[in-house]
Amino acid sequence: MSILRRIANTFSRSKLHLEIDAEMQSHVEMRIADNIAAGMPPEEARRDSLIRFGSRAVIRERTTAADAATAFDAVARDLRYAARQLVRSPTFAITALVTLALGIGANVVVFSVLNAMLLRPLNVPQPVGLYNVVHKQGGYDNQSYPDYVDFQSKNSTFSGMAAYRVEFAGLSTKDAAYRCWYYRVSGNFFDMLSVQPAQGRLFHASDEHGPNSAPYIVLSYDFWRRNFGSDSQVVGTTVDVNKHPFTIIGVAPQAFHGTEVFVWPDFWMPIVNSPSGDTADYLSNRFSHNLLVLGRLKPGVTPQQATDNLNAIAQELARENRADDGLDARLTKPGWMGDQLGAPARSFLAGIMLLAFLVLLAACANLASLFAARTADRSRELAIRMAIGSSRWNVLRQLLAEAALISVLGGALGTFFSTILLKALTHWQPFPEFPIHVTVSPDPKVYLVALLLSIGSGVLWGLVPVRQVWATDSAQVMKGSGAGPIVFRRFTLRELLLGAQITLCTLLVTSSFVALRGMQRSLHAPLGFQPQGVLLAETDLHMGGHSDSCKRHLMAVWTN
Amino acid sequence: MARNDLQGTLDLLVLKTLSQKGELHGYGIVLHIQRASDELLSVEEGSLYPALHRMQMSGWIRSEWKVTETNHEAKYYRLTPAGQKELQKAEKSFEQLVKGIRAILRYA
Repeated sequence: MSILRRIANTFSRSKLHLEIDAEMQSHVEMRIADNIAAGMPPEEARRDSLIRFGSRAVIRERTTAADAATAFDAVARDLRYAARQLVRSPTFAITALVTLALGIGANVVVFSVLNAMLLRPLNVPQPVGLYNVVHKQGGYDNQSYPDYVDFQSKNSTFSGMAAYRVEFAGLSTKDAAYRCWYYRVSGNFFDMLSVQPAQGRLFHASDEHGPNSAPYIVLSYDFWRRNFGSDSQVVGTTVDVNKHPFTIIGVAPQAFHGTEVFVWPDFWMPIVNSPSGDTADYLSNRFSHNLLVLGRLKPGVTPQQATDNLNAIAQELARENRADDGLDARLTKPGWMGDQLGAPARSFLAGIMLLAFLVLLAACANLASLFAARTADRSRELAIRMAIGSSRWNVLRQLLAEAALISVLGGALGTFFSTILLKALTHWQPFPEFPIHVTVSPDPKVYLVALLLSIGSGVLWGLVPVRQVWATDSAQVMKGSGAGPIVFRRFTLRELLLGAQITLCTLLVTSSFVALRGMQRSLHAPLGFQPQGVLLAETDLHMGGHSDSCKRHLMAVWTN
Repeated sequence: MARNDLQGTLDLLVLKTLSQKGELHGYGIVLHIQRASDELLSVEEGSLYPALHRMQMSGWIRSEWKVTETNHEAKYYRLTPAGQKELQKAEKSFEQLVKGIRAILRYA
């Protein structure tokens, strides 16, 4: 209670001043009244009263100074003292800082990746309520176009539903040719995601009039900037996709990278068209499952209600079409090619997060034993401080301030280095031929986690010497026998900490070596043939506009 | 008055005054100490108010603005249970101090 009031006072110094002034004023007035009652002339009464009182400014200062020994002032003093103590023992300070920076840095890096990959929603204007519609059985995430159309038209729980598919094609202009990843999307794709064009226009459901009716593409901002020099004249011109002509009708906004976490497409094409010019079969065949379906729930509809709704439709479709036998539906978080990458990514990241957390735990155990050793070394100093009147609580607060200072500094250091690492990771493109981007710029959530981890680990190991301080008998320590270590039955706390640390480190080292060894083995796994002297040639004849029959002919020529 | 224990003595005087009078403002405390000590002790205003503030922060006394009989606004202080306990402690330690000093004075 009084602590709270002190903190409140610190914030409202001026209010406190006003109150003190009012109190002193009432005192002076009462004295004047009494003086007059005793027969003094009013002027004399007033002078006497003020002289007795002395300087009001001094009293006010002294009254607020009664607060100075408390709250923030005290914390600031503790921190200053802690800083001096750490400067005086640089080896301890540096060891502790580096240990903590490594532990927290590792956690910040892994958490940032986890945050960017799993926790952050898709980078679209309204990411709430978006789900991929996949099958119940894991790994079967694609839908056929007719099924998509039925799901879209018959459901009552989605405000919109779009289909898309990630493909690979060659785009060529008069002067240049590019290998591109692109999306083929249903006409309502951009409208459902509320995406607005940066240049020109985007296509809509109204552009679709059956197979090959919309030979348009929309460029991604990045592709437009890189290969067309951000030239707005490009809109309206025609380019070839796999040697079939398509008109560039617009450019997507800079922030929009499609609806997958990893794959950033170069352009988008309506699904009714195809770079091979042949789509009729594909649009009507219920057997060919090759589309991802993305839906937005109506406001107030739960994912469970939507799943039930879609399953009812699926059963109806299964009765009507042989191809839909056993059709069912499940909703999954979008951005992971349905669920194909999601499940492995989640367990992989959870595993790494666990390892990083163990690293931090080992670091904390290390710090705790460091700190316990340091407290034992300082037992004489602490005992003297208690003997000359410092309370146990004061000494403890001092030690905790040291722990908190180190942990926050270490956390800041770790976060700083991990930010540099994350920046590098963001610019890193693991596979040049795949448009994979790992954007992991830390956001406030990451910094909050870093701060919590720092404070958590600081308090965790700052509490270790508590019993040591509590059990200190100043007289005995000063006589030279030293503070007895904390004893749990037969083991001292320091031995327990050492044990925990060794266990954790063994676990971590073992798991790292298992992972390394596994990778090394898989790199040298027997391929079943002699790879020496064998060359791999890759080509996609579709990009040159060649048909399948032409391809077979060429293959026959090459292999002879 | 023992100089090095001045603050403790002032606390004792204020706490005792409040325990006797129940509820009093700062000016009233000054007057009471003066009167009750037969004008031997006089409390300086400059020390009283910081002391009152400190004791309130420690939770020994609490305050409330009220109107006096002479129609002035004044801040009235009263003892809390913690202050009651503190008073007992202070009285005991003061008695010991006096006893000790007396013993030294009588030592021949």
